Amino acid sequence: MTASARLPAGGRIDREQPLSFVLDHRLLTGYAGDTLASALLAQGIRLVGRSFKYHRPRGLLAAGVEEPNGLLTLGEGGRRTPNVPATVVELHEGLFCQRQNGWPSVDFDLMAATSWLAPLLGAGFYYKTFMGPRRGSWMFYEPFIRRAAGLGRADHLPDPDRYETRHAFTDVLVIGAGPAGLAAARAASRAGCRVTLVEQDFLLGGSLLSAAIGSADDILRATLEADVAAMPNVEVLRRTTALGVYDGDTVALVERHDHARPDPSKGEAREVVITLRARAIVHATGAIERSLVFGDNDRPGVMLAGAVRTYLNRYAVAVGRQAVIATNNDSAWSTALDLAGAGVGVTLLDERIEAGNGLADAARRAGVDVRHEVRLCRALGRRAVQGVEFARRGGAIERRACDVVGISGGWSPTLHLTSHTGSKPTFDVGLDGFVPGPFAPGHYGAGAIMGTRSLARSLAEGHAVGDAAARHVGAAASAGSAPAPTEEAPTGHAASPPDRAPGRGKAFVDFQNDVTTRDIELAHEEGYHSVEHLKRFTTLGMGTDQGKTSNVDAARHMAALRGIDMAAAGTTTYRPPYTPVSVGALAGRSKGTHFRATRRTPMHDWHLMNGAVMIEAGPWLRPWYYRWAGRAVGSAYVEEMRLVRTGVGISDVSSLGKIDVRGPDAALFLDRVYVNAFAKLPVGKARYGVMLNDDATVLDDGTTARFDDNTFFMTTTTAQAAEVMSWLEFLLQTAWPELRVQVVSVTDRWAGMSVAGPKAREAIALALPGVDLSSEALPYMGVREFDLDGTPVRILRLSFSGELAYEIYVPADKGTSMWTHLLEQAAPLGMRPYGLEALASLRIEKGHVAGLELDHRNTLDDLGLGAMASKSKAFIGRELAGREALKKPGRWSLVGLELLEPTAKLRGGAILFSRHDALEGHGRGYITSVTWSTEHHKLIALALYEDGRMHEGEEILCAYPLKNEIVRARIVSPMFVDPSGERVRA
Amino acid sequence: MLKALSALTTPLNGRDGADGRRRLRLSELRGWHVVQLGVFTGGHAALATAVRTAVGFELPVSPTEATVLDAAIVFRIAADQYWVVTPDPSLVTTLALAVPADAGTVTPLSESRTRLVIEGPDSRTVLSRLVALDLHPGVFSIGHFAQAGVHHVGGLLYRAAADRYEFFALRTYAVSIWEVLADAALPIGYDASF
Repeated sequence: MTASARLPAGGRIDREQPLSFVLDHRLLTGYAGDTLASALLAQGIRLVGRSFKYHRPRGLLAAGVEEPNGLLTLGEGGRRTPNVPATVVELHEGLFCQRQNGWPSVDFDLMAATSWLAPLLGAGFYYKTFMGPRRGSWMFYEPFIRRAAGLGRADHLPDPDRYETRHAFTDVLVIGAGPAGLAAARAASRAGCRVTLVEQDFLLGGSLLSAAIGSADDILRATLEADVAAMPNVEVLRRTTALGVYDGDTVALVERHDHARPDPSKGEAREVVITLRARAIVHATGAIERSLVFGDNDRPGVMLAGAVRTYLNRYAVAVGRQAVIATNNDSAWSTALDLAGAGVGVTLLDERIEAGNGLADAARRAGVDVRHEVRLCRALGRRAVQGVEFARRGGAIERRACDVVGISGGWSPTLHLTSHTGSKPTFDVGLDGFVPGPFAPGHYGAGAIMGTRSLARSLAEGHAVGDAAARHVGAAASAGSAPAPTEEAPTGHAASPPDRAPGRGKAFVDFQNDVTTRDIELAHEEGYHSVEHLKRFTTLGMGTDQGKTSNVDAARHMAALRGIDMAAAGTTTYRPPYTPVSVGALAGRSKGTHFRATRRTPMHDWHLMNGAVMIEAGPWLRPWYYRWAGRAVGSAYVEEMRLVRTGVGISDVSSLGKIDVRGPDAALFLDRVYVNAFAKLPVGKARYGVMLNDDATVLDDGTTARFDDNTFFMTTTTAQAAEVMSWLEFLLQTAWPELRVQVVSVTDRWAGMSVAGPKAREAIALALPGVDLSSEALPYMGVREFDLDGTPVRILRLSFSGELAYEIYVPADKGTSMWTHLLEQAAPLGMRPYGLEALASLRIEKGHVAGLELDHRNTLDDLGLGAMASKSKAFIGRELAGREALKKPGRWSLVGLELLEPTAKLRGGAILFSRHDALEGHGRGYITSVTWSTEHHKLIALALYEDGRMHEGEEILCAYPLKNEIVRARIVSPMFVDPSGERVRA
Repeated sequence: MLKALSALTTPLNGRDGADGRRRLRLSELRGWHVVQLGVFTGGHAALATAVRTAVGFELPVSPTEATVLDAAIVFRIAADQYWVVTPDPSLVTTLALAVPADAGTVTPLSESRTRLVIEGPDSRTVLSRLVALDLHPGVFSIGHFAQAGVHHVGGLLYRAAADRYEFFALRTYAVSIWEVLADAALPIGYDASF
């Protein structure tokens, strides 16, 4: 640590608001308006971390999101967030942070010994070295390598903070509140548009924020901000980053609230992800300064020249007392001039023969020692820069002592977001950088992103594109005149390609990934020529900064090695997110109970209050079993089955899909949809039906009842309800719009309950004494609708369990009332509720197919339902049902299995083999459903087996590799109970 | 006599927002009915005439603007489908009797939806956390409605007044949507009743 670098006055900090923060358990102070980076620099802390691979001491390079070195871990416990650039952290009271990647500390890092092995650790070293001695060895080595090299660590504790998501809409989105963005927002809002101005910083102004307080640029910034603030139709989102631009001009934004120390118990969000849909987008994202590549250019104190100026003017931090500024363009001259104005001794090294715009005169007047046609060769020092070596081309090396080096290798337009839209960057020779390619309609660019370095031109461009965006969305009002600077700062770019001088020491291109020029040369030697291959081989451009300061330098180096120009070298593909985003922010409030919406039947609360153990079935919460039957599902469901087989039980079947099919052509429509006939289904009757996909695989089954000539009540499986509804709507809208039929989902309208068991008729008779339930009045598959004190009630005599059973439907709001009424009245018969496990097991015993068998792969014949298909009418799927593949021998078909080993288990998913097969591969089929049979006192199953029906009586093997089990079973009929159907017709 | 129960049975207490205030009112509106009218191809004129004759209002043309007549609201929810929302239970029967069988259909749906009301100056703010709709007053004006997804579940959102929105949620999802609505309103603060 050295003495404070804070200047006694100036900066955009509030000296009346000191803030305490903790770094590596040391209490430090800064001011409101500081970033963590500026506060550290103000305290004289140069060493902010250790490098990724070599553990070299690193200081801050930048002042913005492009920072590759200054990654810190913020927070503790569940709030611990690693790898956050100190340059983007707005200082707030109580901030807790730690430097990373040093052991035992960043200041004294024994892992720095890794540097001694540097000659061995070039690009690709790990991939090549840790491949053996056997396949999979990498998996052994990887944890050790990751522990030695790398960044910060996340924590496994739950994050206590709250995250939010929201939607937003705007006419014109302006991304970036620098001079061009402010001018664009000003123009579009004056033209009458709804404007959203997004700025990742906590202050507006962009590059103007780096100007000295009270300067012409500073006054201009204040004016532009006031203009925008005065417009009621502009929403300004500070601390908000545009992460990505997607189809339909949808932009993902993340808004950060860390500075406000949000309280999750009050519902305050730490971060908010905003899905913003814009009608036009102005890209005013500015540009990022590039570094220079020379020996040991990573020494703490070597910084981007623009960052040096930002720390000086915005944060009142003079990062050194003796500066060397090295550049290939004009922009760094402003840094030199401002440093000199602050009393810092400055040597300016310009690679070019001369600078433009009278800069040389200004520098001389300010006392800056200017040297032209010289290049940096090497930085001196270790834990902090102590000097530089530089030379003319072919000249002798000179040395200059200094404690800060400001470097500028030109500016790269921030074109990540425009690239997300598919606009391929093009190389601008004059700029010596890539600029956005042609924009999609409704997209515009202004300012530095377009390669513009002049303030006046940026303002004019911003105004023009703001106006154009407004016209694009149909605004008619005038945008007025463009803002103009009172004086033009000497910021003409006039860059020349940086010229690397020979020098000792590692010359880093990508600081974050420790990639040097030598690594790029190695990649070239090994044939990784494309920038994409270079990235994968060296990791250049990966990590949290995604190579924002390094990509162009790397491409330039590779282009030189290949002897091609930069345009041919190109860039890697920029993908979202532009900067890292926390997973918590993406998840928002969709976690825990709010992870997804759940669906409750009308009797849900009754179930909870009466001992039901619930289970998720798709979105539904359904009773799994009831505690009256047992404390664990394994025993409870058997008890519930026994109740249904011997007495009477009641089950909530409200989750079944229910569709109202209505109209004069409803019967004809159903006739086409189902494989079996429905046209002549009598009123008052129901029929089991199966429908196919148009490829002839089974879509769904269910029962449809006819209540009058034009009104049908279709039930579907719970799982396929939505799919069947969509399918019916699709058919009516596209295939048969002429049919006079309407389909309406009434799943939510009707509560459904199944009363099943030999005593079912008695039970209902007790509850509904006025209803004739005799087989003459209500035979099997008969239905009735009647009014019960003003409530419509539907009774369908159907059976899923194989027992005498009735489904009773009442409007959903009366569901609980009817349910309790039935239970109370049938209590003398011992009627009790049974849950989903028993319901599903009863159907297995009966041999009914359900979702596990209806998986869109099986045909009617496969499921033993082929006889249902009408031969006299057309139906969906009929034509393709005759395909050779669907008729060939060896297809799976539905069979029953009974276990032959009393102490073993049948398991769903077990692979089936004949006794003579080798137990390998996919076998001859698999078990779909398993249950204990209360009828047969053994485990039974439904399964799909090659030519299954032909093998009835055979003993087979059921293999379950996950538990290393092989058990014997016998193929039997899938109908385990009442195959003649006497019970259901009782 | 069977007793009717709402899907929302567990009382929800109000909560102060982060600033100690309650700027929202969340509630369920009860005592209303909804019937869905369906139109067959070529049956529009006959259906419209039948509805006009029976109940005296015109079917709306707009798929986004509701028609309000007395206490009834009519939404055109699809090209060939309408919702008539009314506190008058007899209207359902009246429409069922009036609509010719070869022109269209009448399907009662009253018990299938739960009508949630979001009121207050921050109603738009809380809804922006739930629905991907532009609720700017210049876009989603009073009387406007749209099919919207809340928590990935479809429903109909209707702007009944300047600061009042109604969401017709599927009954079986109502508790889940109510919970996520209340959670979204947490930092704003709300009174709740149903």
